[in-house]
Amino acid sequence: MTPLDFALFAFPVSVGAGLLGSLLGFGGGVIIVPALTLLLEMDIRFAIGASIISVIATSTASSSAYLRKGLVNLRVGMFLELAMVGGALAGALAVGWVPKSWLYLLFAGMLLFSAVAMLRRGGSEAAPVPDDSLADALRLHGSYFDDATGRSVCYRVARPRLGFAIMFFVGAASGMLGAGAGALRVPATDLAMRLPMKVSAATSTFMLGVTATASAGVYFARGDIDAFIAAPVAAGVLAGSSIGSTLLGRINTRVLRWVFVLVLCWIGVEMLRKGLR
Amino acid sequence: MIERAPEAAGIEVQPAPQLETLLSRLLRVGILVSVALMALGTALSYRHHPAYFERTRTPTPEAWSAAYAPQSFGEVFEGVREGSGRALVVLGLLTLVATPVARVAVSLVAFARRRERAYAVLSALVLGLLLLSFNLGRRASNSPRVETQPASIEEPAK
Repeated sequence: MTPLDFALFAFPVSVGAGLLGSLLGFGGGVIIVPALTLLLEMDIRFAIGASIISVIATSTASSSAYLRKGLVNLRVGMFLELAMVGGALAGALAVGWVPKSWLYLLFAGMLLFSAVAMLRRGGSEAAPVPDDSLADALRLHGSYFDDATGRSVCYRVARPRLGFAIMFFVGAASGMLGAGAGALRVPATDLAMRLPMKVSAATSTFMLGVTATASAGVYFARGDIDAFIAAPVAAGVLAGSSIGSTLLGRINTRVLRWVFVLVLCWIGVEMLRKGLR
Repeated sequence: MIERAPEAAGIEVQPAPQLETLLSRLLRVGILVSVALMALGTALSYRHHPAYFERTRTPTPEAWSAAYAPQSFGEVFEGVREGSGRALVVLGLLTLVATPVARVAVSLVAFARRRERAYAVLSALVLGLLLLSFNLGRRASNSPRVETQPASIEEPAK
């Protein structure tokens, strides 16, 4: 396979990964890693190196668009970012202490739980949100304009401490496995802190870049980031997430929720399989 | 989540999103520079290696993967000076990786200037942890490198 062969394969796959990643607030590693390792039988090291680059590309391209549209909750993003980066560092130090199969099983459980909870949350985005003094003090609450309904929506943020704790754990655990933070943040952002779906996806893309950057240094220094593998992936993902980020505002929240739940279930089952192997 | 006037909800609407606009632009510049470097590097490499244009049906990219994955800034800059297309591509990738870090640094300055102490401290902590993780990464990688496939396509020093 020549570099051109690879680029012609990787580019369209990466466009898809970027598109889905920017809509759901995931990094795109869920698509990139299996595509490269299963279809091309590539060494997992380079696949993970490319997927780290894809996370950063998705995050940078989509959050640039979402920041401009006011879909990112900057304060929540900065707040949870600290938890994730701190967790990722803790995870890197703790690597080897926890068996990976346990992590996979735990993650699978978390994902399937999130999927069910997101479904049940259905139309209840309007349910009252418990007051929280820390959320008030940090002025985490916000508002955004929903292009799909043509209305401006105000929301209040709940349980920041719980969200922070979950994010720390997610950062640590996903740092050990090298993936999964985008999907695993759902219990923190959507269930604990009660961000509206679109804000949560946009804010998630915003945070993921920084978390991935923390591990990118390690992968780069290890020589896992190959120029000709990572570059077509980066280019495709940048294109895909630029397209995706123009869609998020306009897409119907219910459609988005269904896609989201399906992808969560898929990743959950994948992790279950890895954990049981 | 209820639709009503923000004032009536007693919620402070986020102040004029100047910071958001600034950060959005910063990220965009990072992307453009990175894409430009990657495109230029790729074009150079393909010109040096007409063989890259060939289409083969072998399933894996083993022949050329790991041919060039530099591990330090020194290696990258040296490659760029020698006119290596791959090194230029890696420089583009590094620019992409550096963009979120720059975003945190700019947020830190912006929050400090707006005297939002809590968020200035938050950004400073994130930045500190990032720098710490880069250091840890370098230290961890000082252990011997795992050799995978032999490099079969070399970038000529041209």
